[in-house]
Amino acid sequence: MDKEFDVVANYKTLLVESPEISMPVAAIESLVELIKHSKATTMSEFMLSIKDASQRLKSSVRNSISLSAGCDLFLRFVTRNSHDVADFETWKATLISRGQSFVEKADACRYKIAELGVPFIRDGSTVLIHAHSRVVSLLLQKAAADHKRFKVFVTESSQTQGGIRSAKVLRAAGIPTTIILDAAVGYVIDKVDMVLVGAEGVVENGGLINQIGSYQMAIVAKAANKPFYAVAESYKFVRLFPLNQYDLPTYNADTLSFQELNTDHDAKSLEDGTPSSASQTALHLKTAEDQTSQGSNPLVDYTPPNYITLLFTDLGVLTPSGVSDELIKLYL
Amino acid sequence: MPPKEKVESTEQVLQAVILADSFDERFQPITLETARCLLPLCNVPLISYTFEFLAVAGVQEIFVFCCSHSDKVKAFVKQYGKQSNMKIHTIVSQECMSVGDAMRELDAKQLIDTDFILVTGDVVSNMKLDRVLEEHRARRQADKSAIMTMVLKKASPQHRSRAVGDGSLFVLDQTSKECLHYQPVKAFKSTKQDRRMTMDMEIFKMHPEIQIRNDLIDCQVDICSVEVPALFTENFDYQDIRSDFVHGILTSDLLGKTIHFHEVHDVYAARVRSTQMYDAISKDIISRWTFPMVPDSNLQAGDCYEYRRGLVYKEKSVVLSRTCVVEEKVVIGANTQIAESSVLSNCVIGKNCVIGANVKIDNAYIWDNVIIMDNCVIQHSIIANNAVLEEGVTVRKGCLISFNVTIGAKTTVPPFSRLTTLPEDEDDDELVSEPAVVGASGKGRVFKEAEDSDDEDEEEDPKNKAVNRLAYDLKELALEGQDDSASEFESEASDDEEEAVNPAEELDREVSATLERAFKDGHSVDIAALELNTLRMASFSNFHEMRKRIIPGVLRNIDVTAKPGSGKTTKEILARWGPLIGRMIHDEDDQVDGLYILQRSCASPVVATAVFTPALRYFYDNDITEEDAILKWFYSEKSQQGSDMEKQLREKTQPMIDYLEQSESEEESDEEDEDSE
Amino acid sequence: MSLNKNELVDDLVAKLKRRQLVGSSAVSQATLKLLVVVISKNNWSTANQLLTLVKSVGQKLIQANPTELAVGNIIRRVLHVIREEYREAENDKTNTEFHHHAAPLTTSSSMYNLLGESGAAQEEQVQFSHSLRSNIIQEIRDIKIELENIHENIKNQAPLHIHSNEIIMTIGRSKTVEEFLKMAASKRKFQVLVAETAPSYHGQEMALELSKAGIETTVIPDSAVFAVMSRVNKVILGTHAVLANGGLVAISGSHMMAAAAKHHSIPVVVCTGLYKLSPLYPYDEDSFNVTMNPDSVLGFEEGDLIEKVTVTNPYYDYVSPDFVNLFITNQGGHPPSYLYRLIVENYDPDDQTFDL
Repeated sequence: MDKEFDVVANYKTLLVESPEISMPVAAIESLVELIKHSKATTMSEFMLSIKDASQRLKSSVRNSISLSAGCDLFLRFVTRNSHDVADFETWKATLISRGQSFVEKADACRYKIAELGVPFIRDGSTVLIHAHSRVVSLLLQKAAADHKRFKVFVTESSQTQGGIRSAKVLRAAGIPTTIILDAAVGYVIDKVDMVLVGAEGVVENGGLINQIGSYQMAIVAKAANKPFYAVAESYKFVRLFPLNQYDLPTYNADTLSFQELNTDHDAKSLEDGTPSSASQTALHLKTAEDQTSQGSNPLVDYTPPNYITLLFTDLGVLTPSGVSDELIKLYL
Repeated sequence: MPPKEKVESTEQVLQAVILADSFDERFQPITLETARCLLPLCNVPLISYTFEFLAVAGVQEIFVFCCSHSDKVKAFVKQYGKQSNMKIHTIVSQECMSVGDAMRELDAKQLIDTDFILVTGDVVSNMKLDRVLEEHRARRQADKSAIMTMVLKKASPQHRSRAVGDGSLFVLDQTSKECLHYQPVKAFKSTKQDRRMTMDMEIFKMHPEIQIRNDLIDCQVDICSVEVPALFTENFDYQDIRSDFVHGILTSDLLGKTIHFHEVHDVYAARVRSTQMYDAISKDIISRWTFPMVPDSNLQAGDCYEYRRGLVYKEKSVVLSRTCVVEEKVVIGANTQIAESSVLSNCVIGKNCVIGANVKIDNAYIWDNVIIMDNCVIQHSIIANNAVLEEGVTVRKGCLISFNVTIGAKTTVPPFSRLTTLPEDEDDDELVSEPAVVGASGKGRVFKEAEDSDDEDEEEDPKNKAVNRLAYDLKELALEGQDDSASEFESEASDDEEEAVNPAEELDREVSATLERAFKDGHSVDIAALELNTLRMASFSNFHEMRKRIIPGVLRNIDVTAKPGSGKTTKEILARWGPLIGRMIHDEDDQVDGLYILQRSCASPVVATAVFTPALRYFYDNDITEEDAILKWFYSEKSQQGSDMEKQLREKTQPMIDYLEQSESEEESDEEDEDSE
Repeated sequence: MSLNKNELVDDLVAKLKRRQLVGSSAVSQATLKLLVVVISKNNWSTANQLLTLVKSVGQKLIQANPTELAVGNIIRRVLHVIREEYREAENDKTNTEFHHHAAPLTTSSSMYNLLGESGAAQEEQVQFSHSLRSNIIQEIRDIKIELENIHENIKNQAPLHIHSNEIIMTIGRSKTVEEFLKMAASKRKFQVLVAETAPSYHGQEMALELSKAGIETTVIPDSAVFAVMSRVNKVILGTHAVLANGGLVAISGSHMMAAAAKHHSIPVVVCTGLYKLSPLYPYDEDSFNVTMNPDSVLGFEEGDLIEKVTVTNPYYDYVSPDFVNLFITNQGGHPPSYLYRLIVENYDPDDQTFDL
């Protein structure tokens, strides 16, 4: 029956059904669902099916960074514990219960991060955030609930309109929020006390993979001597070691490739029909030219660790070099 | 009690005595409802600062003397004692009316058996006493007569932390660290006496080098030996520790005791003596001069203040609205809420206060549980616990609003108001509110000071009281004082010069002022004479000079046209004030001199000539001048010279002279009453 | 017995509050001494009880003076020791394969915990064997010995860092730096420039001490630091505390000196004992600062002036980690980016705050 269970479809329905869920969590939930439906009788068959499923998941979306983080974490857990298996069925049951408890804990992660990050928000300060990140919003909401008085600039993030979503959430929490153009980061940086971004993934060297625009924000912040903080749950740590922007798995030959002369260069680039996050629901593919140029603009970029002041994670506040330590602990 | 002969060792338990009562009324009406030492200073009870100061000094045992509101003090001390490693005893004594009484009580109870630290319950200081104690002990070992060491701090004369109304002048010998003379200084020196300092010339002989200092804050932190309470008992009229005790000990040759001083630098020390000082010390604490006794070191258990740039101290639980502005030097206590658009600067806000929108608070001290509604303006005032200011209230500077007062909407409280909710009459249970002051829906009345302040300040210049008030403006007060330019500080320096140019004129003015006051206020002759005498001494003048001024001064008051009974006739005036002239006349030479003056002054157009003979008659009848003197005067050359007017006057006395010459032989025997009474 | 302990705690709290006890070294030794008494004199039977006890003491001490970060560090060290000892004892007891395998992974809360076991908390209720008490006390004694030998360990590295005829610049008075330079002076000949460190003028005292030890010492005004920096070979700083990101809380003037050094690409070396390393982050630059009595900046006697101006006298500076090139601790030299590792080794991530 495992062939009938479509892990990708399950994953996508999860995202649509609960917009607050993040991709790695959804991925793990789908994999747990897969185990539930698994008819595998031998260990190797079972392992193979999980690996295959996670592969399918990763390839199903264009921006697979955070999704693969979840898949890898779960796979690692499965393989690590596979040595001690005595009874296959009970082990499967354990995996399922662990997976489910993880999904529950994932939510607590965010609250823990918010708690750790709140002291960094000073009364009377101005924070610049990028696009929309659930955990950043939660952190700011929590700070506002602590009677801290601060203002927020949020970049519009034209690709996903995430900034507009963030602004809505923050304003509802009573935080004065101004949406700025992505191009206005340099303009506002002098008025800003700190930059706060979420993450799609945190890579081995402590660098950050996040929605496009984060890198330039980090560069501007560094130039202006403003702290640049990243907020990420630890299940977003991925085993990647990118050396530059084009080392990311999301990069392909089409990314920002030069089109033929008669095609429309300025066409708005939007991703394909499969939204990688629930936030990206409004897709307007106007023309055929738009469609052809889709995918030619990157969705994420990589911010090297030397631009990052600190990372707020559920493992504590880490320096970028602390991240690799945590990853080593897991994958050693 | 004889002084103990044993040598004080450092191992002994260090004791301290706190006088928790201030024995004055400067904080009324607030102190009608609680003790002075429990008033919150930057949201911490005053006495906590004193306890902390003593604890740092290593004091192990404290005696707290309290009189008014002793139950409250006791309860507080009990609570405090629990979390402190000092032994704290409270001594309640309702009859204590002054420092002197407290010291006598202390002596009677024999609680102290070693050198002790004497402080008042309102001292705020971060100084370490170990050096002072050491010095004092060393001195005691060398010389048993060194009974006391005062701790003094240097500060410029117009320093905000100096109590303007409680200035003091010290004469010090820096080599032996001895205090040689002490004199209190008033802010407004309306009388000659206030402006003069008298000092024993011996001091100059004994000490080759002395300093006369007016730049010292005297925070009344004294290291006293056991003799001090005993001396208070011996001299039962001593009330104040400075103006009576120190002054008394230093001017008395009999006691042979010495008082020393210790000048401190780089530390803070001050006393909350008045509302004006309350204001200044609050600011010093906020500006961290008292470090480590600052709000963010959380003296009181349970406090959790955070320090922010701009000298803002805020509890974590404070709720500030997004648009309210907290400017510089602000302390905000726990659970206080501040609504939109309010502006706070230079102020202290207590716990659990609710401050509405668009409120402006500047320089104010707002205690716990106060509710201030929208659009209020508060300037330079103190608002005590549980007060309510309804919407749109304006509190002008210098107000003291006591516990539970409610001020109705849109009321303006005039400057320097003092409001209370206590019924006027102690027997009354009901408070009669004064809607004129507190508004229609308000609760409270204007507090009137007890008129019969029976202390020695009966002649106190009202300005000297005003100077201790919150938000006083020295310049304004000085302007109110019409011609008395000397009371302003700036001109004080030039005072001496002025004197040097014309001391006679100065004396003229002083005497006439004194006399005028005496006439107007109906002083007794004794008092007037005392004043004039001090004036004479202060100006290094002699009786001749005084007579020259007093006799015309008195005579000028006579209105020859007045009807009997109006108090202005020659007879009546002489009967009333003649004895004063008598006080200025002693031996025969004086008498003759007096007559010359009388003659000359009656010859002037100011005093009617008709006064002369009755006056002479009066002098004779009352033995102010005797017949010998009168005769001497009459026959002297001096009396026969002078203006025509004077000559005429002399002629007029001819009948009297004749009479005197006749009776001379008969009355020769009466010679006992040489001097006037 | 518990009364005795409370009195001692209150005593230390009062001393910290009144700032009668200041300075990282003195404070940490006093804290450690107190903890030994607290642990040995109190009744406790489970690890949780002991942890709660130590935390409650720690909370009081930290509240008394939050700027003395060394107090918290020592408490965290002790808590870490207790946890370690407990784990060791547990492992000895149930020497199963699984535990052996999992032990290195669960030493700190890691990502793995998200999926892994989470039973540790209840297991800590388990009774302690009696030997554990003495083990813990012994571990604490070891920390004490470590504290006592800190200067020794640090100064022995001096010849590695200071070379002949170098010009060294420093600021303030740090016992660690003083010992370090004196040790180097016994081997090499070099020159030291000390900034006078207004308004405390600790730099002058430092210079006096160094010159007594025969080091060629020059005092310069703080304002001349930048001007002479180009001639300097190395800046050696002492510090009050080191924060988790490698930032320093050091005497005011340090930031300026470090910035000048960076401008001239002069290496900045910080000498510090590990007990000054705090797992806390600089939430904002003022959070660990102390603003002292402004008297030494502008005398209180100047009554007319102080009415009109605000005078502040911050005692410390925050020096951000990118100004520091090397930390020399009692465990050797480390770059700032390595400090997190030391924090992980010495403290438990659960002990960042002492909320009970």
